[in-house]
Amino acid sequence: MIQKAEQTNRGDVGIVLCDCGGTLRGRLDFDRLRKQLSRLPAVATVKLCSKFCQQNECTKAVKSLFRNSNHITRLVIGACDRGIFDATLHETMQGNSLGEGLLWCVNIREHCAWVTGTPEVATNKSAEVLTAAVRRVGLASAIESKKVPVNQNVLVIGGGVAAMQTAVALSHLGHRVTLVEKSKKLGGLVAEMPELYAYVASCSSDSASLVQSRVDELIKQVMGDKHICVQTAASLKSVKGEFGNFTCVIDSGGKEQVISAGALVLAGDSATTKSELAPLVHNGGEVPKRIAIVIDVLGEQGRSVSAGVLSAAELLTKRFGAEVKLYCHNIRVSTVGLEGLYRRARQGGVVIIKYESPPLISEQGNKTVVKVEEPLVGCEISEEFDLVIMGDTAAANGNNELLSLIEGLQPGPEETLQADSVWLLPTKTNREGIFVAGLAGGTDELRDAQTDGLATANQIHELLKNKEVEILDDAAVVDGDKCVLCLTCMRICPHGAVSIDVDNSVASISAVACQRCGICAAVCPAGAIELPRYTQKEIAAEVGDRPQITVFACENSAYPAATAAATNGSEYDAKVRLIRVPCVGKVDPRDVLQALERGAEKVIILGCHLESCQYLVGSTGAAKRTERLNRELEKAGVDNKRVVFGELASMEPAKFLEYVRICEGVKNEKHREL
Amino acid sequence: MIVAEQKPIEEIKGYLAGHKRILVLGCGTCVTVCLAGGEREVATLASILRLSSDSEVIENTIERQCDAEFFDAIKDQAASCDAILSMACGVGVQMVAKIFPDKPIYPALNTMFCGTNDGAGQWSENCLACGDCKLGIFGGVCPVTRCSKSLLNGPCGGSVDGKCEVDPENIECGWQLIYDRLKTLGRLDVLLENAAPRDWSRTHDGGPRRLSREDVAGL
Repeated sequence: MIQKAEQTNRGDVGIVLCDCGGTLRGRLDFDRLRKQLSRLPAVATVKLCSKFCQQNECTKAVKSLFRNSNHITRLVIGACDRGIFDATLHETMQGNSLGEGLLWCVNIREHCAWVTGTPEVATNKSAEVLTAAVRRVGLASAIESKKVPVNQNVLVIGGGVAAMQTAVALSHLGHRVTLVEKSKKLGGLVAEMPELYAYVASCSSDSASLVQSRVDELIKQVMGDKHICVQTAASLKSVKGEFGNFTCVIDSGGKEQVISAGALVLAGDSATTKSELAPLVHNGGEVPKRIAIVIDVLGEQGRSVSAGVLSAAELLTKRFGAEVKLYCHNIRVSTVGLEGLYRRARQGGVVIIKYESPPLISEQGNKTVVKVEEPLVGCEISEEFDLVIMGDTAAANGNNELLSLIEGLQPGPEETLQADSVWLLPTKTNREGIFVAGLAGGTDELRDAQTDGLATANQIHELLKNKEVEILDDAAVVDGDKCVLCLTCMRICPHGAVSIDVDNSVASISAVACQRCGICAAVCPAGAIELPRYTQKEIAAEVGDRPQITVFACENSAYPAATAAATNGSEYDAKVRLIRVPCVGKVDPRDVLQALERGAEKVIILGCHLESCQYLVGSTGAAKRTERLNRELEKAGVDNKRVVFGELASMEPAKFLEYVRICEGVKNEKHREL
Repeated sequence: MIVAEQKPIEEIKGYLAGHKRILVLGCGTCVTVCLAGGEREVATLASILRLSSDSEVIENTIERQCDAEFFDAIKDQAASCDAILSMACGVGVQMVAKIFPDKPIYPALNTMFCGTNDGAGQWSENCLACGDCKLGIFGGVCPVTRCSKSLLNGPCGGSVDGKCEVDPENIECGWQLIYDRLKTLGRLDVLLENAAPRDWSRTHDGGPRRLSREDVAGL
C-alpha cells in the first residue's frame, strides 16, 4: 500500500547550510534555499554558515540556531561529507540537549552542487534533498546510550604459542584468564617440532633450540602466573551468551565446569601437514630413502606451508640423508628467514620442481610414482618414491568442532575460524567478543602467532577495561507483537546477534552483538524488525512522493563513491537521489517497490562487491533479492529493467557513474521509441 | 508446519484479470514462517500487481486464515473488493471462500507439504498426515513420507548409496535413514517384524476426515 510520506508539523527542525567558504555560492542559490526551506511547516529556522568544518564556525552556527528558536529538537545539516565535519560537530553537540538520532546530514556539495549542471538545477536538487531530510528527521526517534556491564575475565581455547601469548598479555593488562588445552601439556605444535619453526629464529645450527626455549619460557610464564588458570586435557563443550557475558562449559577430565567470560579467544592448534612430517623427523627410526613432497594441488598455499615443507625437506635431507623432491607451483619466501631457508634447502640437496599443472600420483607395487610435466624440458618425467607426502593444508579438524559449538561463527577458507572479509581486523571473527589467534585463524608462523596473541589481548583489553561498555541503543529491534519466531533473522544474522527469547516467545537482538547492518529487517517475513534511523517509514519519507531515480547507496561503498565522483569533477543526472543505507542488505524489496509505485523510473541498489561486504552476506542477499524481484516484475509484465543491482567499492567512482548512467541510457532509449 | 510457495505470477494475474478492486490477504501463521504469505510477501505481491495492472489492490494480513473469528477485522475491506487473493495455504483459501460466499476467491500459493525448516529458506517434507503414525516402530523416520513409495517392509531395489532412485540428487532413501537410526539405537531387531499393510481409510482415501474432541466440542 502506498504510504504517504509523512509530514511533521511541529516546526521543531533546525537547518544549518554551509556554503563551503563561499565556494558554493556560484553553484547554489543559498538565499532561495533558505526561503524555500523556511516555508516548510516542520522547519523552525535555517542558518547559513561558511565553514561548518571549523570548530568555531560550527559551534557558532549551531548555537545561534538554538538561541533563535528554543523548541528545536531536530537538526538537518546541509554541507559536505559528514566525515569532514563529524568530529567538529560531535564536539559542538557535547552538552547539547539534542538527542542522538535526531540529526540527519545531507551532502549538498558533492551530491548536489558539484555534480549538477546549472545553479538552478543544483539549487532545486538541494532543496528537494534537504526537504526529504526534514521529512525523514521528523520521523526519527531519539537514541539513548546505555551502559552494559562486561565480565573482564577471558577464556582462551588452546595451549600453543598464540594461546599462551594471548593469556600472558591479557594477564599483564589485568585480566584473569582461563586457558583450556585439549592435550595434556602446553606448547602446541611448536613445542612438538621446534625444527619446523626454526627458520624465523636464526640461521644458526641451534635455531631449533632457540625456538624450544622461547616456548619453554612462555610455558613457564603461563604456569607461574596466578591470574592464568590452566586446564589441560580439557575441552570446550558449549558457548552461550554474547560479548561481555559469555557462559562457557568446559569438560575437564569428565567433570563439567562453567566459566563466565567477557571475551573468548579461539587459539587451538589443529592438525596440519606438519603433524604428518613430525613423526618422520622425530621417531628416530627409519626414514624412507626417496621422499616426494607435493604442494599447491588443492590451491596455492601460503608462505607458512612453504616454510613448513622447506624446513622438513631440509631436515630430512641433512639429518636423515633422504633424497627429497619438492613439487610445487610456487614457493613463497616473503618473510625474514625464509629466503635463507630456501637457499639452504637447495644447497643441501633438496630438488624443487615448479610445475604448471599438478602431478599425477599413482601406486606401483610398494613404490609411488609421481608423474609431472617438467616445464623447463617440456616433457613428462615419472619418478618413483618410497613415500609421497601431500603438503597442502588440510581442513583443520578441530575448527569444525568449534564451528558447530559456537552459533553463528562464520568460517573462512579451509575452515579457518575467521570469515573471509577485508573488514575483519586480523584476529576478529564475525562474532563480537570472539577472537581467533594462531593456526585456528590460519596463522602458522611463530612470530605471527605471537603477534596474533598480543593484538588479541590488546583488542580485548580495549573492550573490557572499563568493566562496562557504553553503546548507543540503536540496534535492530523486534516488534514482539508481530514476530512469529520463524527464526529467519537468527539464521541469517551474520553476527550471531539474534537469539530466541524463550520467556516471551520472540526473537531477541543483542544490542552489543548487533552491528547495525539491518539485514534482519530486510528478511523478516512479518515485517517485525526495524533498524533505528532506517525504519521503513524513514526510508519512505526520504524516497518521497515523487521519486525519479532512487539509488540505495551502501555507506561503505556507493555513498563514498558518489562523493568521489563529484571530487573527480563528474556530473550526472540531477534526478538521481541517494538514499544512504548501512548496507544494501538492509534494502527491503518493499522499499524498492514503493519507490517504483510512486513513479521512480528506476531503482538502483548499489553495494559493496559481494565478497567484500562488511556484513558478509548483505550484498549477496541484495543481489539475490533484486534478481528475484526483477524476475517477478518481468513475468508480471512490468519493465524489468527498472531495478538494478550493482557492486562497487568506495574508490570506484567510475563504476558509480556507470551504474547511474546505465539508467540514463535506458531512459533515453525509451524516449527514442516514443 | 505447513509449507507453501508462491504460485507463478502469470497464473495469479490470470485469475485476477477483469477484477477492479482486489484484496491481497496474508496469513500470519505457517505461511509467514515459511516466507510465502506473511506481511512482507503480501506487500511485495500487492505492489507488483499494482505496478502491472490498473486494478486497485489493497492488502492486509490476519493472524490465521484457518479460523473464522480472525476475519472480523477485514470484513469491511473484503466488502469493498470484488475479489480476494488469499496468500494462505489451501485451508485458508477455503475458509475465505466460506466466510465470503459472494466473493470470488483465488489462491496465491501452492500448498506443498507438512515439513521442517532445514535452515533459512529451505524446507523438506516429513509428514503426510496419514492419520496412523508408525514413527514409534521405525526409529523416528517415517516410511510413509520419507520413502518415495511409502514401503513399510524395507527398501526397494532403487536405493543406491543412501539415495532414492526417484531423484538420487535430492532425495535420501527413507529406508536407509530408518536402518541407520535403528542400527545406532541397537534396535535392528524391530525390522524383523513384518509390518501389516496400512489402513489407508484413516488417510484421505477414506474421504475428507473429521475430528471431534468430545470434552470440548459442543460445550
